[in-house]
Amino acid sequence: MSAGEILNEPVWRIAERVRAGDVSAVEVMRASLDRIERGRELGAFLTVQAERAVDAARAIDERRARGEALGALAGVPIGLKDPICTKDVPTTAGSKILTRARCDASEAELDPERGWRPPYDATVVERLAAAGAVVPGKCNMDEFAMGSSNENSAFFPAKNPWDPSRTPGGSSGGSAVAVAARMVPASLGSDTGGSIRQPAALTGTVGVKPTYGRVSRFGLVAFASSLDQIGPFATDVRGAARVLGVIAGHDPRDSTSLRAEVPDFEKACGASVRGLRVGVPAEYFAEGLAPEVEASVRAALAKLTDMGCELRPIHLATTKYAVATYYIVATAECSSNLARFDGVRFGLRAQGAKDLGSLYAGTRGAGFGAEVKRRIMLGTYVLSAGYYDAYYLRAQRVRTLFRRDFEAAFREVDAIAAPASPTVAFKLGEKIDDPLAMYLADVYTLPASLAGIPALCVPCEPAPAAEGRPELPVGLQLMGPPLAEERLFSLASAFEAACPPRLPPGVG
Amino acid sequence: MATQETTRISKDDVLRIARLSHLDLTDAEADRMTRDLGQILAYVEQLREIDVTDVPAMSHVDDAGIVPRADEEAASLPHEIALREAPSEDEGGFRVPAFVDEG
Repeated sequence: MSAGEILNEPVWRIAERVRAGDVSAVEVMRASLDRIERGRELGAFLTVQAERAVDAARAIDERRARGEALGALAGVPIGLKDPICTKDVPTTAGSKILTRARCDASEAELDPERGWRPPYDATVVERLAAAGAVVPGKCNMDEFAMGSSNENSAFFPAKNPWDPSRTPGGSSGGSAVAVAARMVPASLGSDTGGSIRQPAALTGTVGVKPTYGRVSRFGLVAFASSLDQIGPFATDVRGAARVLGVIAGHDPRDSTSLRAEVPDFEKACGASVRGLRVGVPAEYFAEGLAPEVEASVRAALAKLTDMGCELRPIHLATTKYAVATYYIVATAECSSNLARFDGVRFGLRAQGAKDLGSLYAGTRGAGFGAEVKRRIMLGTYVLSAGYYDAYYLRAQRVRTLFRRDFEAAFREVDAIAAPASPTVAFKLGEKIDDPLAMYLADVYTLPASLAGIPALCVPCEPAPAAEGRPELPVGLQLMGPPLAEERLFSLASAFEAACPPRLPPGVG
Repeated sequence: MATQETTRISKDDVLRIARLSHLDLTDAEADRMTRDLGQILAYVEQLREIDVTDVPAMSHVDDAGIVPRADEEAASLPHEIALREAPSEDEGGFRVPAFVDEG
């Protein structure tokens, strides 16, 4: 096969071929770097560490030559969303405030290569490296993971390989594009309210938001700590399962990481799903769901029935309050987490400030983009004296109702199937001036985040071309009880066998 | 689904919140923020419809209980590494403008 064709293979097969010596890790990495370079206009990567990646790949090949055992991801190129800290390698989280730039630098003048260089690797980065994975670069994203279209990147937007005039979704847009365009067979994203599942749906990739606490967040630039979770994107379900198996597990450096044993997620792929009770929540098929998405998701549900699953109608009555609840809880937490960006210890600094207060306010005013400012302001407002009970405390109570709704549902069903996004990929610029319309793009992914349960997105039949738009991906979202990722992988892999993933035009 | 209705938040409120948030806003940004926050706050008003009597607040997911790590001595960042990204440093520390009025 030609060098590039190896990247049409899934994660697990690439690792097998590298381990067998069929292909070298260096060849795989050069193929990946070549595709990244040729796909530059898609904006998937903020920075590329070509030399470092080839060196790391060569080290894998040398280990093999010495007869040493290679890990589960030997020689597999994996993209990293940019809030994930990489030692000495620029990490911007998509923000100007984490770059060494002039305060008045325009978007075109900003260089992510001049991003903050963390003094340590995130736990997930250490675990990927220990398994033999190699990181070619850092993926584009909405600033501090706040957005649903990747247009809030301080640098440039990422574009959807199915139609570059459309968004790939967000906030992990670059991670999704890198996988959809087969620049890498897998990547890591982070999901606070849908930032893995929604871009997976919009790009036709597999995306997993694990149970809250399944994966260590040590070294992840924090947005909303009670919701943030790292997870994989991959070209297929088994590949996502393998990557999750590598990065999951307790970490003493993250007190919220769970001590639960990490099962063999990959073994769950291919297991029988006959007899599983799958709940179909009426509230996810209500007003606002685009007809082409509904048609594709309903066809997917019919396939689940063909596979022997029992579909049961259920109710998740709180669903319609998800956007309101989330945008209070998440903004409150972000207003606190983002207080650390003050121009003192790293990144941007306002020049000529006469006192500390104006140094903070000047740096933050120049360094944060419009959406981040909006969320810090909203979060500060809902936490401020006189409003705390009415907004923040009430939202936290409603959050309990989300949790209870799911607990009740999972007494009746084993998993829940629903759309991941109410629409197919929308046009760049379409929602950027209407924050509320953008927030509503997350309505189907927010509930699982609020409840802390695992959820994944697997591609179903694309929506056919219509009205001047090409064929575009649609995602099926599967949700399960806490720590039931294996069941979701079983369902998703059975579904995938009946509905094989498609490639965007011109890719592969 | 989106509502165009706005709740009462004045530009003065916005400027007060901006001060609390340590955010310099231009005049145009403050105007835009007044409009946007008004719309978002009007939208989140819908949470008032829900009866939350006796419902406890959920600040985080607690599936297993958070167990703090042992409080043991461990290596910390070397001084020069901690300082290397500082926009301005002086005598082994981060340089900042005066924050105590010495007058």
